[in-house]
Amino acid sequence: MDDEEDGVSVAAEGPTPLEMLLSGADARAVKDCVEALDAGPKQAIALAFYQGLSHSELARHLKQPLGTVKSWVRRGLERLRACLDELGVKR
Amino acid sequence: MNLHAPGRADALAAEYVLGTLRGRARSRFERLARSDPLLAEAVRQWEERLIPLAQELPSVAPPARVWQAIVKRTHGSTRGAREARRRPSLWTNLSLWRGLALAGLASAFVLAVALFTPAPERPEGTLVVVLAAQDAKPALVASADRTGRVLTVKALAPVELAGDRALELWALPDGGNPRSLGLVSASGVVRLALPRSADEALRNVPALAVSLEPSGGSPTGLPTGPVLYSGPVPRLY
Repeated sequence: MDDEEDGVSVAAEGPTPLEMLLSGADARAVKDCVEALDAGPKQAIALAFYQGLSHSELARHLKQPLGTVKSWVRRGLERLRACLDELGVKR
Repeated sequence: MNLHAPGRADALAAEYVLGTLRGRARSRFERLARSDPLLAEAVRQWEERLIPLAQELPSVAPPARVWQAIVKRTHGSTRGAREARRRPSLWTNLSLWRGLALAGLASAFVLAVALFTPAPERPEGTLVVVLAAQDAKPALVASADRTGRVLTVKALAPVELAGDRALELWALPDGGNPRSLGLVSASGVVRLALPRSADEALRNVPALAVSLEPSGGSPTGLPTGPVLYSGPVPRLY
């Protein structure tokens, strides 16, 4: 179908969606910074963000005390911010 | 809630955006953020930091026919085709393709994150669908254990809805009518019960979509309002 082919060619010729919407660096930076987190904080943040888990659900899921996952989340977010700020300065 | 301790406002904004700030603390925070520009700015900055998590990844382009199929399935083939002819710009709309591509990219990345995240209780993996608006902005993330019967749907950024309107989530099966999965929240997290395991319930379902409906959901069992968001259901091979 013509219409469909038009759409495909637009998508193929233009810059990638990422390049248009974000500076690619931002998205890469977030990914790199998340990957740089320790395993516990990384897992807690990923589950909270992608699965919508609460602190107590995280504690159950990860089989850790509530205080531990709360501190993983807090520490993970602090490190994420510090990491992004650092990359932001270099950019 | 003491916002004046150093770093406290920022920490709360972070957990608000992440979604771990819940219940009364969340409502109180929202109220404060409405009248406190610094707090609102902290929220905006954290949204900027975290939302790219739902966007970055290597290229996995969704099939160009996905949107066409959505229009057809949600409005009936005749009307869909007629509307498509009347509005050819839909098919050449750059932001549409950008949106579909981004949604595909986003779900692939989400999947990548889900895969590199050890999750001992989920040996089968997680199914994640990112639902994006036509302007390519991811709006909702639906996720489920492939073997589980709970679909968690999370709004990435709150959507303003009139009081008499609701968002309804639909499975768009290959060659069948849209099937309602339930109502989803415009601002928080909702868990929907699936009739079967996510893998089975979403087999032959290439995409999910969210339509705007009267409060209480569509009275007809089929979408009656506009499709606001849609996203491809990723397949694991």
